[in-house]
Amino acid sequence: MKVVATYNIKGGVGKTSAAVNIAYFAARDGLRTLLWDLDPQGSATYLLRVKPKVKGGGDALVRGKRTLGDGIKGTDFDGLDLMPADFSYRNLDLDLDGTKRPTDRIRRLLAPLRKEYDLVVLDCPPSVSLVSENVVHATDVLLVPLIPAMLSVRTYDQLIDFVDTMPGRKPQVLGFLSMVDSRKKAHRELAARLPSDHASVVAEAIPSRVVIEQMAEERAPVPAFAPASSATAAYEALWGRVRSSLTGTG
Amino acid sequence: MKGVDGGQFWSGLEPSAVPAALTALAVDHAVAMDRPVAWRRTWLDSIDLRLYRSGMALTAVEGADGDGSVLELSCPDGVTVRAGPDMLGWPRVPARLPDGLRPHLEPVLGVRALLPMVEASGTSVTGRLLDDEGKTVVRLVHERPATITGGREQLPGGLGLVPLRGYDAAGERAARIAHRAGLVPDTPSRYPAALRAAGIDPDASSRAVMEPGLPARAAVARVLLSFLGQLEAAVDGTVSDVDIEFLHDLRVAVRRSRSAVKLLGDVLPPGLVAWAAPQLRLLGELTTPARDLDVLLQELPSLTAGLTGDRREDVEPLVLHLAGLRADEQRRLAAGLRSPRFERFRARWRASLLALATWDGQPGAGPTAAEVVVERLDRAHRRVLRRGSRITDASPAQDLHDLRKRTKELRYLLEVLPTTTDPADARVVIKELKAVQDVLGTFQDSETQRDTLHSLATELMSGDGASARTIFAMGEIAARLQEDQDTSRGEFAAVFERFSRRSAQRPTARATAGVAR
Repeated sequence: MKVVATYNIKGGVGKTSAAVNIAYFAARDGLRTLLWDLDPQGSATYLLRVKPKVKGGGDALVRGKRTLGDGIKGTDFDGLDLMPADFSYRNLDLDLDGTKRPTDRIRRLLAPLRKEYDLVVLDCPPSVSLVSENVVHATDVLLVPLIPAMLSVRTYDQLIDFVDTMPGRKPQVLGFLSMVDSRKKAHRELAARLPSDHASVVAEAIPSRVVIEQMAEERAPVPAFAPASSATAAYEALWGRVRSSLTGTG
Repeated sequence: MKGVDGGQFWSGLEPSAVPAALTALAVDHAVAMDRPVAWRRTWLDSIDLRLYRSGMALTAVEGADGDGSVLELSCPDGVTVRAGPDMLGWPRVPARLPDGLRPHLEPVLGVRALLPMVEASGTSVTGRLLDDEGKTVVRLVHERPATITGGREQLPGGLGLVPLRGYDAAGERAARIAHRAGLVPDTPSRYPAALRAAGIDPDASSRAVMEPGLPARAAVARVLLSFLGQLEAAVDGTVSDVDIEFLHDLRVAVRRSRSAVKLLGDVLPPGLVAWAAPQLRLLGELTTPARDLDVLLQELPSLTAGLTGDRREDVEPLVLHLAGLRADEQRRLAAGLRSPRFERFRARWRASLLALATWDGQPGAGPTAAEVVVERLDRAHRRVLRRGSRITDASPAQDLHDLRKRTKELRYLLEVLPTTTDPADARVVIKELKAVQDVLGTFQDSETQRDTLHSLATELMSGDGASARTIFAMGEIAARLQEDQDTSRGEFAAVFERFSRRSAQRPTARATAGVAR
């Protein structure tokens, strides 16, 4: 079982859209896939039409009173399951802080699902916290959406430093440009330059498209309702890159 | 026709039941249905329904664009294994099945080939039950009544309900609605229903049993007719060489017929017996060489595995030679079974038995079947005990072979015991008798195979110029067979003593006493 997480300190950069679409493509390719919506806002949960409710909340999970398996829901898409968000996840940091080895809890919660799933996709809340430390420890590939702006690049560099200084097991970090508007010169230039300046930023970029915003109306991954769109092609290419990166992880 | 993995299938003979269930489900949930899809599928099994009896079902689902079939195996634990696209035809022996299926099927099928048992075509519609978020909570498969190829009946329609993970409560509610609408749980593979729709009763006993109240002549004729049916059922598979068990089934039917004619034939017209007995003997003899080669070829891998060192290559010329001989014998056998002589025998034997099998219910038609069976069983039992007790370590092999024939006769008589007999008593006797037969079978098979190897060695040396290594390997195998034969001779006394004791406690005559009264 491999674990991918979409993560950024900033919000609104396309984490959830990437998580949902990548999970969709993984399932379409025959991987038994679980998407875990760790963000208390529950956007991924909403997009997949699942009610944002986990019995016992995040506290019961963290304390081991319930397992992840108890809360998983099948989605409308073959091979794709969802661990929904719950508003109580807003306190997940506090819940984690009260446990032994608080930075390793998510990895241990996922361990019993090893035989059941080929891939877990974690959709993370935007913050630097115990939750994000947990995610970094649990993950094989950390997928970081970057909006084409210099400040975003600076934040990405900080994140790389943060991962580098972490003790123990480290994920492979993959940055990708998100919400790229090719009409804007600055976007075009950054999209051209960034992958060559940063070895960990991949060339596969997600364009800014209306269909991606329409996910909230359609409540489905882009390929499910706009299979011929350029956004679908972009997410598929990004998934291809993630997949080949995963085969290189141990 | 889409499978219902992880869910339950509901069906009903009443055509209105499924639409009624869908209407009732629509009260609770929004129901979204897709377009109907045509399907064609074939259920596969061995001729003796080994998959059905193991709780399995294997189907070949035809692809839409004619590019082969997807094979779907439903296992008893509810797991479905898929393989394909599969382009090869049927029948097919397990060794030629896709890799993913072989480990599941080989232990069940043994050497038996898979054949198309039922073929059906129809339409199905997939759909979904949605909750108030518009989210699928239960997947639906509505199967409309399907046409069975070559059959008069239809495969009844039904409804598959597959709750998504985490939506068990919705699944249970939907199941209750289906039940209230008159549907009943069915096997998701639909195999039992498909068999019945094709006119095959998979649970029917193929055992031929004497009807105790009938005049013995009619009862014996009916049992012989049943054996003839088994024989005829095995002919085509034997001629086409579908699998080696067809020949075995044919031989068993012939042996049973011969035993019945020998032990019970005095109730039949003497002229018929005088004609049938040699015909059946010749038929048995026609099948023996091919069967002996089948057994030797089947056992050769295990015999070779016991050779010192890795000597499989040494016996390769022997295997090739045996395969050639077997092909020759198969041709001879097929010609015999296709011959006008065999056809004449079948037709006359059937017509004669049919004439004897009818009884108008009038009294005075001679002794009843029960009276005759009790007396013959007792006689056959005493014969086995008498001959067996005379066997010593120094007895010639022929005495053991003769005893084996007598035990087979007793076994066949026990197997045609009327159903009113205490089955527990018969089972105990049959179990102990089978142990004796196993020992005697090993004794005789070892000798037959050793003799075959000796004559094959002579043929190989003079014909193809087999290497010394091959001949040495054959010598080693022959020595192992001799050891097997010696071992079985050593085991005989104890096994036979146990049979004598246990069958005396439950004498066969007493076992049938209830019938005689």
